Amino acid sequence: MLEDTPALESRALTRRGFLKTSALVAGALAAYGGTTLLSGCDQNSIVQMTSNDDTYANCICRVNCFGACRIKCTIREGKIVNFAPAPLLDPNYNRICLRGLTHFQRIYDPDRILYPLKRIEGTKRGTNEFEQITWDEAIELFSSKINEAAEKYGPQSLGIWGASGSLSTINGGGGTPSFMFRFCNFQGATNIQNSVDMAQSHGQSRVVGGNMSSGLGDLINSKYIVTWGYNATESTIHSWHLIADGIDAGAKLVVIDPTYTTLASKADKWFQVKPGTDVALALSLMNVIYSNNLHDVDFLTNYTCAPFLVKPDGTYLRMSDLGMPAQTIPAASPLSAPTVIDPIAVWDTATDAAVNSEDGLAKTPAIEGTFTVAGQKCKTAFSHLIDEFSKYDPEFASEIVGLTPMQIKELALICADGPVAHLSGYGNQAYSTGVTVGAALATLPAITGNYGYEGAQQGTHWKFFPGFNYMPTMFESLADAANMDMTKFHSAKTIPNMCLPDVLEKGTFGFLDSTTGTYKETDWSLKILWQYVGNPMSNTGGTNILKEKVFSKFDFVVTSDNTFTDTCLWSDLILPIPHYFEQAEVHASGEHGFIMYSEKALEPMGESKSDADILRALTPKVKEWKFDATANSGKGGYVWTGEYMAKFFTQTDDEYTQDILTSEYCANLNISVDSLKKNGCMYDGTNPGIPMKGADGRPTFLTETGKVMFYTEHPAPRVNWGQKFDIDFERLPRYKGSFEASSDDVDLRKKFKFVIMSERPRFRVHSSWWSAPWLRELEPEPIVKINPEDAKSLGINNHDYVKVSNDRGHAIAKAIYHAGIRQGTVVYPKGWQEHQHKDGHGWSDLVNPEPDLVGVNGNFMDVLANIELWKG
Amino acid sequence: MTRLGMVIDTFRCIGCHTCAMACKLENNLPNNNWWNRVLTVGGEDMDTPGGIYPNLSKKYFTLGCQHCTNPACTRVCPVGATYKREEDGVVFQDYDKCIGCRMCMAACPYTGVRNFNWEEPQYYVGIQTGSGGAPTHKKHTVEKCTLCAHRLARGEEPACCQDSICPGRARYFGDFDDPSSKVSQLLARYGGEQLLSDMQTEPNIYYIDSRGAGKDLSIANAYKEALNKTAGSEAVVASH
Amino acid sequence: MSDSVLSGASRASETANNQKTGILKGNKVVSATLGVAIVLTILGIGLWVFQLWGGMLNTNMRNLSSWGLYIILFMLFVGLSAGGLIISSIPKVTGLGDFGGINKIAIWTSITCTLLAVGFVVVDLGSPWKVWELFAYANFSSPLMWDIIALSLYLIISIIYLWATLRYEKGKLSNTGMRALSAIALVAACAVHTVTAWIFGLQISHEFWYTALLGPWFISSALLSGLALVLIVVFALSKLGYVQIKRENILKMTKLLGVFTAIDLYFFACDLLTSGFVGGESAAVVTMLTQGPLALFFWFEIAVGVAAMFIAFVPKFRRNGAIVFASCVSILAILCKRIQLLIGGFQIPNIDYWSTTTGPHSVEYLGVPGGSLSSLIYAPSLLELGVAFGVVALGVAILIIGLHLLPLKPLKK
Repeated sequence: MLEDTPALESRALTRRGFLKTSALVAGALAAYGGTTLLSGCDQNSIVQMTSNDDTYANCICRVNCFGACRIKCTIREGKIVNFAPAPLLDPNYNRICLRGLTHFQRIYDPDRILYPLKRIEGTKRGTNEFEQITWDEAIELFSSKINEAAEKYGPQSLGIWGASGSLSTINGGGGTPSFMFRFCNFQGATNIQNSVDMAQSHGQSRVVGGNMSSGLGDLINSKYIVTWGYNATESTIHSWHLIADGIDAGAKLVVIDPTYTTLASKADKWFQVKPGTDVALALSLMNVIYSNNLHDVDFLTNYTCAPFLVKPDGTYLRMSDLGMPAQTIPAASPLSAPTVIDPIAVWDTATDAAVNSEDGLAKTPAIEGTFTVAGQKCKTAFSHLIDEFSKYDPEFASEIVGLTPMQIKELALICADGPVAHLSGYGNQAYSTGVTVGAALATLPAITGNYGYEGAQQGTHWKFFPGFNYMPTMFESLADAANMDMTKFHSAKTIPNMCLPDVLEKGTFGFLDSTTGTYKETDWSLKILWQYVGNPMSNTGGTNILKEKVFSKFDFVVTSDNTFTDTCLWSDLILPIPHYFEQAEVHASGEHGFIMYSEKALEPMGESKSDADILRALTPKVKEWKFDATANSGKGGYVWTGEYMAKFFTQTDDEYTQDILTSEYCANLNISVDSLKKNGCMYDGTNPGIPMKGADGRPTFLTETGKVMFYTEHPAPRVNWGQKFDIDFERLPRYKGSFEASSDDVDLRKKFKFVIMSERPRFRVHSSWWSAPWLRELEPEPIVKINPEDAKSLGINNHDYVKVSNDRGHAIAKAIYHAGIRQGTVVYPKGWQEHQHKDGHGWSDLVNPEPDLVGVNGNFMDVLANIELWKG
Repeated sequence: MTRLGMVIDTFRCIGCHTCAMACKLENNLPNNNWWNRVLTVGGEDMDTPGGIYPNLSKKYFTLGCQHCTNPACTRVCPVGATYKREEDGVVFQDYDKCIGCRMCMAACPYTGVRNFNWEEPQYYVGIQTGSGGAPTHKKHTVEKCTLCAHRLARGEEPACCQDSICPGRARYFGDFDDPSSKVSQLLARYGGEQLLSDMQTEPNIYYIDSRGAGKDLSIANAYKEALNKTAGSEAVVASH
Repeated sequence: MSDSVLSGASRASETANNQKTGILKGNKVVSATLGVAIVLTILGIGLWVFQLWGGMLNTNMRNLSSWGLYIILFMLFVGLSAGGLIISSIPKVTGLGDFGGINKIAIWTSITCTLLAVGFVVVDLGSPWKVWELFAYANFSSPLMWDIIALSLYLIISIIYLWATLRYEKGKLSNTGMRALSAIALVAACAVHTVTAWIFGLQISHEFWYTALLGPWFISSALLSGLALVLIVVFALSKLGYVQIKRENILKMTKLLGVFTAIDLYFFACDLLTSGFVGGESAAVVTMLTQGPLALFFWFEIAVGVAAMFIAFVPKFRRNGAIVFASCVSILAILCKRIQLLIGGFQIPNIDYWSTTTGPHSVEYLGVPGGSLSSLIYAPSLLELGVAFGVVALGVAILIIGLHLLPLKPLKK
């Protein structure tokens, strides 16, 4: 039985024997295409520079590690030579990391793509046969492809797929109102949504309305810090010191993770759960808390949906059911929906009647029980939840989650002993059941009233800046938006990337028909793929399927990037983009609560163009299409207006940026392009602060009722295309086995014996920095961490090469013995490009690209495979 | 007297290699050359724990020149290319004098701390990095951490101990002969371990484990206070 | 001219002529050997230049094993040289009678070995052109500096000793003077190899090296190997007909070889027991030698030692062939000893995780897998072998040329 992590005994650090590690595995680094990755120049040809006339620029590193580090860059004789942390308003967030320190190796990468490249006629995708062309030629080629396809299939034939390689504002991606979004909407292209790491927030939003963590600065107020699938010491190393501060201030660290991570090594307690079972664990914890009367009745009564009555049909009993008609407030704008005011009813034990939950008259609502109201047996939402978690007593849950009943009880007592900071990573939601993970983990703190005060929080730490104005991505001007002039409104349809194999095969997708309010399979032809700010060939799951069923179905693939990623290799046209520090930008994504201005340290190298500049060059040649119902002999079709899209892209970067920063939120904080340029770093209004503490000091949530809604009346899939799903299952946090990792399918588990989990190592951010030589010196080749007992039973010695394979493909990597890996699982650091693996097949081969119909989210951890010694 | 050295907090160290990279950047180190290494105390390979479930443990030590008070290396260099500086205790390395006999490498008990340039220094990218002033590397000479002597000359701390560069906030630099310095205070509070203390070299790099013993929260608290005062809609403006 | 004057003059020159071995005259084997030696020397120099220009990365030395074949051979040749001189000086000092007048050959062998030892240090240096710094910036606390001084003085003393021996044979130096010089030579020989030992023995950094015993032990190894070398050279010359040596002198030297072997093995046993008795970490040294990657060298040395003692002490084994064999393998045994010492010191690092990268600068890159005790941390590259052969070839050349040009033949009585 696991108790405390063994104390790190003070050892006499004498002689040898105190350190038993030996060197890293010997690596043959497969430099792509025999390029200059490992060579370079000698001392004599190195540029010698004097530092007398150094200039500096404060730039923001914009990768998706949530760091948003402000970096002071030194420029010497026109070259960027040094990096150091630049100050933010709160010095707790001054930081940089080993990757940030090697930006210059990305800027001056000898293989950096500096010119437009076109795949040579007659060659196949994936063979790296490119020729340099001019921008004029590239624009001509790309625009003509777009126009041809638009004429035949409509402008939606252009699919634009962005990920998170650069969390910028007007360039790059990450959900900001970027230039590319505006183009996508205005063109009527198809927004291919990168369906990654979104399941948890969908589930969480159902329950508390959004991701509402208090930020890591609040950890010094916590009694316990409980992490769920959060590898902070590897994937977000900059957060660790704030967790350490919490520990210093007296918090105990409790780590829930199938793997003994570095974070686990710092923990007071570590619970080695089975992958994909967090929901069962959460339910069991609720079970123990409730069974021991540790639930917070007051909080449940006043701040959650616990007392809300649920009708037998599964929907809430509302005042309209009791004779008080609902009021409908018309939609404020064509873009919003009408608001229906129809309060939910609760059972008031004082009067023994169902009453309005919102008029404050219910003095003692019941949170448990079934009551007959208007002829129907209505149960409270909390009773529904109790029914659910009652199934998960520790003895039963023990088998599922892989912990002893004692451990479950211990963890439950911890959760009830607040304030508890529940920190979620993204590890536990990358399973097909990810949505319920979000819902369950948001529900658990509500049981003990662990919301709305210092030290108590739950959530992940990635934030959207609440102050962005998205209208400029949809309306031609701010004035048009203010007037809600729908003739000046443009929008594109969204298709999740995981649905692409289906869409490309069938040629249809289920879009909402606004007239009928139902989802209709609509003809949809995708012909051109424009990939930007990401590397899906490497980071999306199911590489072979992606190649066969997605990329090969597109007539023309364009990628904007500046390094030969797997995606670039499978493209027909590559457009070079600048490095982050070569473009000035506002930056507002991160976990630290500051919005900052990233200065321009260098001119864009070679002929690279920012996304905005690419659009400025491209749109003069891209035709504007309008749908004409009379065209095509009355069947309807797209007609060229005679004009080009450039008319919508006349603003400068600063003008457009100011438009998207024009909001009440920004005005309140005095945020504007000018003030950002002047101040460099400004408070963004999100952190610190207890987001769930209302102005009156009482907990409040961003839900319809302002309360924790662990019972979801009308659960919806994260992306809806009319698919059928088990509505009743989604109404509460419920557990079911995932597709693979925690699958209930015994035969599947017999066929594939190992759960293959990925980690986001500190030597890269996803696939960024894949070729930075200094980082490759530290991490020379793909490895897979395996439990020594498992390895020995397979005849695998430490440092042997192994083949990890399932029906979707395989990957070759070097096995590393790691006693902290849960038996029956392995962990691989992700982000390697295919050609860096021994036989050109990489980890993404193994991941299942099939979406769960509710989460529609990348199932990166939800992988089963077999492992064998590689003979090759 | 000045006795410069470092205190490294193994509770806060997560072995991320940022300090090793900061050193590499500042000193413009050639390919495959690292003056500051991260050692995993645990399993056989980097980042692996020792023990068997459930009794696992892992700890990291970062290791560079220990700038010993009684260095083994300075005694044996036949030409005095490595020597302990009087004014600050830095064990320095003079590339011009070094004849490449590698006696110092044999004499130093801290395996791997001294690096020999076995070939003409190679660089992946042909620019000289760092804040400026790092000595040029030479083929067939020995080199190692110099506490960034070129930065000390400007009154700056070593690159690996720069303000906020360690993500764990685990590194401290200062003068052990000054009782009011941070490093002296830390030693007084936590004690501290030295590596290979039986080698009688009296290293000036100390390792502490500050877990749970309370920390100076004044920065975090000060900011909280400031924000409470300006809570609401006022923007807090940064100074460059 | 009268007959007597002529004959006297010719007798003198005849004597002088007889003393030169003139070894190359009419001897194809020796000429061929010299020829090959010169070719190998030139090749060696070429490889050395390549090593300096192309980088020492072309050796198999790395940060973990920063010394290799060159320093191994340096130790061996200092020992051989010291041994040679001790063999030739002890009889004079103790007055116990010499080994049949092979002194001068022994001294010349010793001088050659000294030059080779210096040569091996030079080829090991990263920047050999900076050797002048040793004199400009000398750090007198450094054992390496002591060794440089000792070797230099020793070389000079050896040359003086040779010259003095010649003068003495011609009657131009007194017995006392000869004895005094012999004593100085003896002390110098002991000193030079003790100081060489101190390069290792004073380093607390490597447990395997840090012992007070190393000084005396190097002396015993020097005596052993030096004597063996002298025996080989004498046998070779005897075979070529340029010297005649009495059986009794051979036997004297052979028995002495046995005694020195016994002493050497005794020292080894003391050291092993001291390491092994404590158990714990020190025992790792014993494991490394007896069962680990150095086991081959260890057991070879022991086996050779035992064999040599048999040959030395058991009369019926003391045939010429056996004696030559014993001498050859004894030198190899001492070479094994040097290999064990040098590589063994590095084989057990104080801090296991010795390298950040597995790139070309690491031992892993050379195929040494993780875990220092499981395989040899260093084995010389072809370049090192080539350079080493070149230096040894230079020694052979110097030896032959000296034997040819210098009056080294034993004086006919």
